[in-house]
Amino acid sequence: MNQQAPSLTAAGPTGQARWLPYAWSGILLVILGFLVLYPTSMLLIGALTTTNPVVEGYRFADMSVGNFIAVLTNPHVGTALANSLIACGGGTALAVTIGLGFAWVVVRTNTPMKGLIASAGMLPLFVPPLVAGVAWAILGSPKTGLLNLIAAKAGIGLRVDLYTMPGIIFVFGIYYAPYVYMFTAAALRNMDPSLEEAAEISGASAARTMATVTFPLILPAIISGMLLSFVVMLGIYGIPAVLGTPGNIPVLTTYIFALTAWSPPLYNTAAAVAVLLMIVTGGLVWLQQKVISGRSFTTVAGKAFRPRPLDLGPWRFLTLAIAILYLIVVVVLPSIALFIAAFRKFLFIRDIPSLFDAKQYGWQHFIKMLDNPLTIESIINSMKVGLITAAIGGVLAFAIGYTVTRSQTPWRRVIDVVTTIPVAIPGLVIGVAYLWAWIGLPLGIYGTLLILALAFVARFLPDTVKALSSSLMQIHRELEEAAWICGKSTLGTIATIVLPLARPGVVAGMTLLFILAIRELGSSLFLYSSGTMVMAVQLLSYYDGGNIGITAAFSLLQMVLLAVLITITNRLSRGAGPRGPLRNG
Amino acid sequence: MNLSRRAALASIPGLVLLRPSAGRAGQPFKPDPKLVEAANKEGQMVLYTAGLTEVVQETINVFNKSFPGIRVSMVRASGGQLITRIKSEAAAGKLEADVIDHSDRGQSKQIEDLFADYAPPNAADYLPETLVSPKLWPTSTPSWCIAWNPELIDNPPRTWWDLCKPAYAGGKIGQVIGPSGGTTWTRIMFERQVLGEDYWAKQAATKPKLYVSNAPLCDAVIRGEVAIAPLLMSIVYPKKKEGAPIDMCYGPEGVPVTPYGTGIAATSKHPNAARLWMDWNLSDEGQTASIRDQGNLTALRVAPIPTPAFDPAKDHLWTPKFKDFMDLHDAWLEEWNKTYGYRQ
Repeated sequence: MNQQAPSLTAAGPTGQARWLPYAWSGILLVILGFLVLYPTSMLLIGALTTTNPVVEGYRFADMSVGNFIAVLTNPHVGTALANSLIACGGGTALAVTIGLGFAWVVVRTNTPMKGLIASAGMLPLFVPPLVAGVAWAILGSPKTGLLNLIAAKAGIGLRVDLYTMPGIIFVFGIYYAPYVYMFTAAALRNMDPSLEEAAEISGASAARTMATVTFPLILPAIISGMLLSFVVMLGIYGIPAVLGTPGNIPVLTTYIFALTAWSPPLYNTAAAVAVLLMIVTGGLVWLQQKVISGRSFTTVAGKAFRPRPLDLGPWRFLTLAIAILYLIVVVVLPSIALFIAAFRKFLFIRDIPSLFDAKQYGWQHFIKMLDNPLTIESIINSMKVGLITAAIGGVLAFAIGYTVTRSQTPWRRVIDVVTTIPVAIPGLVIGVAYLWAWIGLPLGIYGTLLILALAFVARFLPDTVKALSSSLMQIHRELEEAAWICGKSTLGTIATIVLPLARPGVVAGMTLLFILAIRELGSSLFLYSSGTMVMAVQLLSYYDGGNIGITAAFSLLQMVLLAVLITITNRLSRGAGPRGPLRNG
Repeated sequence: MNLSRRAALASIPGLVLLRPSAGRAGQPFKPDPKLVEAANKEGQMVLYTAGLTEVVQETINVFNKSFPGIRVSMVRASGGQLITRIKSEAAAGKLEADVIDHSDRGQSKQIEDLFADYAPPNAADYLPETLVSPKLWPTSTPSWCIAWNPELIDNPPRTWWDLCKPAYAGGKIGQVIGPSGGTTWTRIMFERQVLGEDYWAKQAATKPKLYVSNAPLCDAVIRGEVAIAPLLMSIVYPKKKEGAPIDMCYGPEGVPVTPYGTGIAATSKHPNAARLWMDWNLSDEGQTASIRDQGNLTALRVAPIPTPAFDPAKDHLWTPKFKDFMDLHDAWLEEWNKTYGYRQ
């Protein structure tokens, strides 16, 4: 990125006071200090001691690197780390391939039924990882998997075994492709198609245009989506827990979860493992910065444009067929598995006739689920906490994103680095760090929904800021300069120029935050109280209770709720899409 | 292992063999009306539990049939996570729990100072071997059984030693990992102290599949992922009652039991509701519900009703000496992990 950051300089476009940028950065750093640095420091203290810092306290003299030595010399940690990197690396490669291809098909081609494909393709995002794991275990277990049952009946010798590393990579890849899709589709929508048209006029084929013009221009979005997918996968527990455990494939999250769940729990060791994970992720973030630094990715300029989809001719039916196949694999098959699990009394399927035996099905799991008052309570609480998180996190992420990507405000690099820290910490461990850090807060916010929302804002700040930054980086500074020339203040320019142009990214970022908040398990586990039960914890309780039927029923309910909410936000986002008046202005 | 060897084992110093309980007519629960009035006035209580949500919710539902005016809010977490939360909240002066319910009595004992002095009206009816602190009481007494999927197994195992048979090798058996919690620790102590030093190695030679806790393993048996597993009766029995393809028996070598360590928090904001909850749970009526609905055993000297699948004539209960329970924990678990190839 070589564009000169234009606004909020020490002098400011409207000659604001010189202290203002310092005050602004100071406020952001204080907020980040509370949300990120303080809990992270508690985590580090935990990793350097053998005590619970809240209970026993800590003395710097007692700190040692004993936990790190124990962890680094433990061969099982090395195995878990290697497995994590293989699973997440493979999963990311698959997610980028699928997500990018999918974004291109939906945004830039004339493939039929694009709207339906786009909506359905986002469905995996609504599925909690634990449920994804369960759904694919039902489908792809080597012993009892439905796919194997059907293949055997059909006389096909091929057997699926998802309790393997390729199985975990496959499920990671298909479930995290929407993350890449969200980033790249937004970037593709905002891209001036005249660049592609120029390539076409110069005689470049569609494939060459895509490879040499389209994808390089949206590289920040691709890298951001790739990085986000990778680090999210690194922090996922549900999928490797369900698919990796039977095959004895430990990853870092399942290892950390075990450390926290054992009796007695080994949180200090877990914290040390988490710090290792932070180092790995920190390295990746640094790599991302290196890759995208020094290049310009401005694609939204002051010139009007009207996007024109690429005419694929008869090939559009091939892209449609591929998209439908993807949807069958990603949406239809796991949904069928979940439906069967949710409505079938017991999930033992002797043979194909038994699968279609109507007597085996009923509403018993839904009745039992709704009979538990915690179910409804958790749904209401999750919706509330999701909205609070999206609202607070959206505002904060925009403020940080704008400050970091579009201003010369002092200390903005520090703000950027601090914002990125939570991405590297697994939820299960940061959860206990939040507990240690915030339990003593005044005003009685411990035990309220607000403390959960603050934890989610902090935890997902990197994701939201990255989502917003991709949009912000694409807006050319000439648009802001024009506003300043017309006498607009910085805030006025943000309100009338930047925010409307970045609206798809802002809505996408807030939607992402809402979804992540609703699904978040790790930090919820330690911060929820008797009156603030949330869906993710309730879902784990059902799973821990060994009732796959209720787990599946609750998952279906969650998916429907989220789908409705996402449809609403999609409509809001579309209102500011390519046909919006400002876009043409 | 035959019964005579069992009898010999029973005489080994260091083992605690509980008296088999026989059914009798349970006494109806008649609390002090003043306590009920005070509890109703409080109208609520918070229960911290390491038990399974569904099981605990069922207990709450039964309690609420008698005491509908008291709303019991549950905070459920795995054993280790629950202890961390309790310690942290207590240190910050924000412990929300009125009652704390934990399967690992050792863990409860370590935070004994967080519990209030309490004894139920029928305290004298409880087996002293099951009590580790005057503040902690066994509201639940889960027991270990041998379970299998009858759709997959024609010739099921009937003894603990059967789980070492090569016929069941190759992933047919599932096992809960040793460090899972207090109940599993009890069972693996039983295996080593009662069945023999070589039991773990012989059982591990069948290459069992390892699961992190009981409930997912029970689900795996029902689904057919594994065919056989040592499981808690309180998880198997409700599923069997619902018609799931699962069957079970108690091992003739002994029935490992884990009396819970449950108590009232010293900082309880609803002490009367908490006391009523504890009194009811520990009463004949509460224990009857625990036995009838969940298939638990009881730490009462005489069970108020016959316990499912338990034959007092031939089955006998086993619980470890509490000192062993505490002292052997780390070293033995490390050995178990090595023997079973569990990565820790």
